[in-house]
Amino acid sequence: MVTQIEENDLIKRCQQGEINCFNRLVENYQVPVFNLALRMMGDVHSAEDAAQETFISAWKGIESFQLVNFKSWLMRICANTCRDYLRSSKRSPKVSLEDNFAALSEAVTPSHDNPEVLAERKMVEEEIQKGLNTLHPDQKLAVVLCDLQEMNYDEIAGIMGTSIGTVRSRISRGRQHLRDYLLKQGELFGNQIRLIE
Amino acid sequence: MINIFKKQPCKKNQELLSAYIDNQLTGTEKPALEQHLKTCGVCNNELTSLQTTKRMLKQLPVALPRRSFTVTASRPVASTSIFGIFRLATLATAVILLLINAGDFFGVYPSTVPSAPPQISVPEVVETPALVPTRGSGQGRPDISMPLPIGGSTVDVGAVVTPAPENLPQSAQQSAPGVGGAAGEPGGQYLWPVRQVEIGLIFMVVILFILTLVARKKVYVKVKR
Repeated sequence: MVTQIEENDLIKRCQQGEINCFNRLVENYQVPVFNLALRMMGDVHSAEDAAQETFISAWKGIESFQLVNFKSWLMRICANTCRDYLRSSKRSPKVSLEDNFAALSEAVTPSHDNPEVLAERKMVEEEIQKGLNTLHPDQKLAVVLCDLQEMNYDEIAGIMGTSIGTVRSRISRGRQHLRDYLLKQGELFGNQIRLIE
Repeated sequence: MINIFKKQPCKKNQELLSAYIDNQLTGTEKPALEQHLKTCGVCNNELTSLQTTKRMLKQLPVALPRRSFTVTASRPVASTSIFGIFRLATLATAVILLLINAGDFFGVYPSTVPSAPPQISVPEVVETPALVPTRGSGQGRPDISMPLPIGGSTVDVGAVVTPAPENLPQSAQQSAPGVGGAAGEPGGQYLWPVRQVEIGLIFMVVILFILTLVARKKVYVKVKR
């Protein structure tokens, strides 16, 4: 983990062309960037490509970066990259859902729970991801940044290049749509539905 | 399954409920909504369902990338220099083309003997007993006609000095005006094929420009997989 002072120093050295310093920043931020790409794309392979492209774009544009918030800047690049990927993948979807979820279960952090619990959790995760995939990309980005990346509305507005009011609206609608989708899968989510009741 | 969301929550509060969960309401919004929640069961249900949705989203595990996304900045020297060469060559060719075009436009290139305008035939001019002095009678020729005291009549100088077609060199007889270069001096021909050179240069500029674009694309940060 890199401290804020170290990060600022690394960024300055990156701007002078030191690739090793940039790669230290990559190692520091590759997990959140990859997770944002993964939830946006819903596909591990595309998420890897998007994450890689994000860091390449960041390296190319590091000279113009002003010392504000490096993570937000990376997230914005990643969000734009994912948006472009989603636009192009709409025209030519490549990976089947089964293949994708197989790869997804490889990518997630390993757990030591018993197989039954794991299987159930995996199914729930798949359904949540499917639900996310049904959202409009802007709503999905807002929800993912808020609930998974745990960013506040101000940061999300900066990343999405919009107002806080719009962010609030997108998160609200995104959650409602996702809630409606999950309710339709009621049999899968017995426990959670009971929680609601 | 019981649909507990049959009743719509108060529309104005829907957005506020989501922001309330995230603790993103302003100072005045928060107490007003809390006051409303004390009395409105529908909004309470909506709030609970949204909280559950958020909780379920948070259940999604953090995925670890299967590989590193570090990058290497290998800018191949050859590609860079080729890009530079192509760019320079494109610029140079474009400048040469521009200069040649400008020269063509202003007619600064040396030309051969001007060819006879097709409308005026020598016998007609010779047989004319007295030509009225004309100004600029030759098409595209410089206005050089003047009266001459030959046998009491005036003669169109331009017509007199124009050799008969049979006296012209073979090459001059065959070539039409404009072929082998636009006449810098109207009616004449350039000593070198200006038009062909111009067309050739246009092609060269286009090809070099495309090659420059291709070479430019190769100069990028290579990915270390």
